[in-house]
Amino acid sequence: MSSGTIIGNCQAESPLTGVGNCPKQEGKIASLIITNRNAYFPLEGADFKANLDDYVSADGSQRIWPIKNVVGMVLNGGDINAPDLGTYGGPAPTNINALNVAYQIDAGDCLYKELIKFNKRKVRIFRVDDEGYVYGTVITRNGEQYFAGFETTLYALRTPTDGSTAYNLSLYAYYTVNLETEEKNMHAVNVGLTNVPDGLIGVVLKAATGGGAKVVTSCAGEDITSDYADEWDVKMFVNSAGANPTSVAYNSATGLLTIEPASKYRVAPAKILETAGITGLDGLEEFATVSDK
Amino acid sequence: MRISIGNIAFSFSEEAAKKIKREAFIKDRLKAYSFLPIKKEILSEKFGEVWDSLNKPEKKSK
Repeated sequence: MSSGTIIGNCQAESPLTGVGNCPKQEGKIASLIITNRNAYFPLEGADFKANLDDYVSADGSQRIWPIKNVVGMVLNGGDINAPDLGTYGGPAPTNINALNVAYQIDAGDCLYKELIKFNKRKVRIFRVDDEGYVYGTVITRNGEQYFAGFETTLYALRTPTDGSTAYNLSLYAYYTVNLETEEKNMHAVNVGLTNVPDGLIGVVLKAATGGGAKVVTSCAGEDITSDYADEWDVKMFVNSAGANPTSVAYNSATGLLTIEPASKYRVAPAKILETAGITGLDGLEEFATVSDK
Repeated sequence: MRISIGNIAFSFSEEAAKKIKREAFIKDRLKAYSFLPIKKEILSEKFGEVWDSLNKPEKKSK
């Protein structure tokens, strides 16, 4: 006779199957918010919403990467298709077959070039539906509960289309085997679609022919100097020694900046730009030699 | 510190202005912005005002 007990736990919790008057159901996915795997946020909706903009340019683990223009999604894999438990009783859920979802994103090749930087990276992902609800899960750290995204591994791919365009951009999110637990602890806060911040755009400083300089987007090369006109500030530029210029002048007649004294300058990182008054841009570590005219 | 002269918007570093004498600050800025279609006298006066403003002695709190 053997000893020892293994107590079953499938009835440990009693499902509550009532339905309220206005049951919220996750809608069509409009945006995704990618976070680092170890990032966690306030559970309280107002606190989460109030700090969303700051998280975009946050240094370190709390940075978020919003991805808008999600126009479709295709589910692949998942537990219900598990056929490998032998023949007895046929297929049964095992919770080891990860679900992956291909989120189709309507954006250009510049975004694709950025998204492939996530490839093979384990991250967390918040889903934002078309009613502005942010869906994630509750995690516990040091005895406190926090809001976090679902664990996934990402892979960006361009998949060939029927020929109307060359490719569709798809971001594959491979959810982990923790998904069942995460969904049991699912949490959603209503931030409103208009409050979902844009992702950062990389910008660099370019010396202009004949003197002066302009700020252009790093991939598309769009000149955005005039978009921010008199908002450009000495704190937004640093030379190779880390010092700010003495003065910066924006000439609205030419759309160019004059940065002096002559040196090699770059545009400051996102956090500094935000503090100085420009949000949504991230200065990349690319120096331009700017000379006095 | 920011000022505008005509269609030019300037931003000045307070830290840099405090490290340099008034005359040198004005002279260096005039040289850097000599290409602007603004009279030298006006630029000189404005740059002087910027230096004065950034180097104003701090009032001691009571």
